[in-house]
Amino acid sequence: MAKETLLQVRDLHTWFELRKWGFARVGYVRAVDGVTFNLDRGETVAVVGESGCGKSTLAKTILGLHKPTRGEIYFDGKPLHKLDTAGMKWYRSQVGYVQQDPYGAVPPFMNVYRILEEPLIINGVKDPKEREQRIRRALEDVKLAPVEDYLPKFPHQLSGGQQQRLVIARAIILEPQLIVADEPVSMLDASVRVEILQLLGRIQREYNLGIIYITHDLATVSYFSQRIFVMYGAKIVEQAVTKDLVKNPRHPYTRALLAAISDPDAANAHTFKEVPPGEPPSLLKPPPGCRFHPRCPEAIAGVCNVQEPPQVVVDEGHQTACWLYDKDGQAEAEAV
Amino acid sequence: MSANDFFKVENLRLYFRTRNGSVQAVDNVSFRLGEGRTMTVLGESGCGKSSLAKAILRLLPRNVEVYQGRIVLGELDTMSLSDERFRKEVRWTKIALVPQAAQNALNPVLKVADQIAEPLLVHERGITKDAALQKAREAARIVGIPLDFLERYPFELSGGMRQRVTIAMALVTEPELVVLDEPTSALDVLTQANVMNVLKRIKQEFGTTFILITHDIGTASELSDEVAVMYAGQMVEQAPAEKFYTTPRHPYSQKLMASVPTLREEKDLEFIPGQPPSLINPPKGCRFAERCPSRFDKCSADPPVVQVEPDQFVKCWLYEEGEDG
Repeated sequence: MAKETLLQVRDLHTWFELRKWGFARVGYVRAVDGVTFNLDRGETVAVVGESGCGKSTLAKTILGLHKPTRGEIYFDGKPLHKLDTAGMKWYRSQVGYVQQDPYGAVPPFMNVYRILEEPLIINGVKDPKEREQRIRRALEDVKLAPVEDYLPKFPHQLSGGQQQRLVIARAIILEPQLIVADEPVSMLDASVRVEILQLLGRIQREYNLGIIYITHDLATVSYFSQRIFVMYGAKIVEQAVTKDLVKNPRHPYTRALLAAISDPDAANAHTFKEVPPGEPPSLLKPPPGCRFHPRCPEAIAGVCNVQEPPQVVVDEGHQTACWLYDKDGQAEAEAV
Repeated sequence: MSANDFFKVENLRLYFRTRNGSVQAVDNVSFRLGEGRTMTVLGESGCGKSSLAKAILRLLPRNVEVYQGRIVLGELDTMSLSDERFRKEVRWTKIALVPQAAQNALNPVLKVADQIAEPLLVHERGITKDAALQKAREAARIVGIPLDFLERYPFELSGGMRQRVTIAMALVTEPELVVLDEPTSALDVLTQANVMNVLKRIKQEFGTTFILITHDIGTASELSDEVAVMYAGQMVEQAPAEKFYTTPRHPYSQKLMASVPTLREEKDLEFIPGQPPSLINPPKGCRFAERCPSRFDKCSADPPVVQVEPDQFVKCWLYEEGEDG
């Protein structure tokens, strides 16, 4: 099956201006700082990183909720920055958003029917019969059945898992081509998480959707996505096919992240974890060179703290931004 | 056997009064824990695990309907004490708590050193401010807070550092038992690993007894000697960690383990269909029966607690009278 590119992100920067007294500009928070990737139709990529690494800002920029400072996003070949108001409306109907917190994502004063009807009304589905049909189909898709029981319910009458399914139903009701899911299961219990992820996976296959799955939980990622992007300090430091990344991580940060995850095993109680010292960098004044170098156990003095690392292709479909894998950089290090 | 009976809870009940009826948040929970050991209480939201922590520390809201049972720490039956004596003699001096999300509840106008010293000033009579601050510095050192952070305010600290402050606040009075309620659930993966390292070191160096309350089965394994599983207000299984993580016995524990994604080994994930029952008028029989794949006739009656091995207890009809798995 020929792969078809759905979303192209080129050198994307989203910076937030910081002002003092309301007008004096004091700097920028570089929340997304040079991100480039492609997403195919029907593909799931996971964006993994710690809080404050810019992954949610990346999601919101793709959704069109933040205006990029620099760089372009192409959706289905169309450049986002050239779309007019009507074009943006079309784009928003093509991209569904599954929020992190199902409890806060739905208005408490609307019942299920109204919540799902609203996007249809806004996007000009005038026939009430068609609206009802589509609402029913969306609810069946997310397994809120029997549909009759759920239509009149208000969010507080639903459990966390059911609310998240409602949020997913709302995200797919306009039949989008892309879904951005920002930590869709982090607020849910373990036994429900798998259910929601499997549900998302099934809907994706059925409608051939692209999914951008934003999360900090590497363990669920390996079950749910084809590719992983690891973000650190507002940049993607490593991207690879899921299995490859989990088995053969290259970037020292990815390795630290993987090592920090505990699989349920009683033997864990007898060993200590190795954790790189320090904290993630400030995005207001990121360190020069590689942003991980102050914490990196393998940092090459004179290289990593001076120059930004290049994107190195280490394997087929496996890229990392690290001097360790750059031949020139290595030579330089040996010379030092 | 006294080493095994360091902390004992027997038939503990905590019901709350609400407009719709009484909520049986903790229903007939019994367990015992040896000195210097760590028990993890696993369970999903609403299963009563935080209420269990509150019941142990007697930090109760006003709408308590039933609060009974026995809680014995060493030789001291804490349930027999009056509220005032409990406050003076047990809370924080003998049993301390790291409450859920406490790292976001630090007093914003207190410096870290004063914040850590506060439990001493409140709970230890006659201690001078200087002595308290000295002890606070010591506690900060133990949990790995750099000394120059002591003069900072909470907003100047990262999440992981703030969580260390709350742990230091629990340790500063040198309690015999520390209850940790979801100490790492709001933290990032690397920070989580850091905090678990700190707890592990404290456990090894000082032999502190911990009760760790969490829903994160993977992280829990970092600290567990014993594992107890709660479901709908009841304790359904208690076992040593090695046994629990390899062969959980209760169908709920088994399903729960099957739903945990693992990084290093590939397995098919399962989920548990349905929802836990309401704790207002819960079902008379086994509370898990409705979702249980191995349900049979007997499950409509309340299952007994069966001792399947000398140190493993399961509240399930499947294991009754040698019908061992």
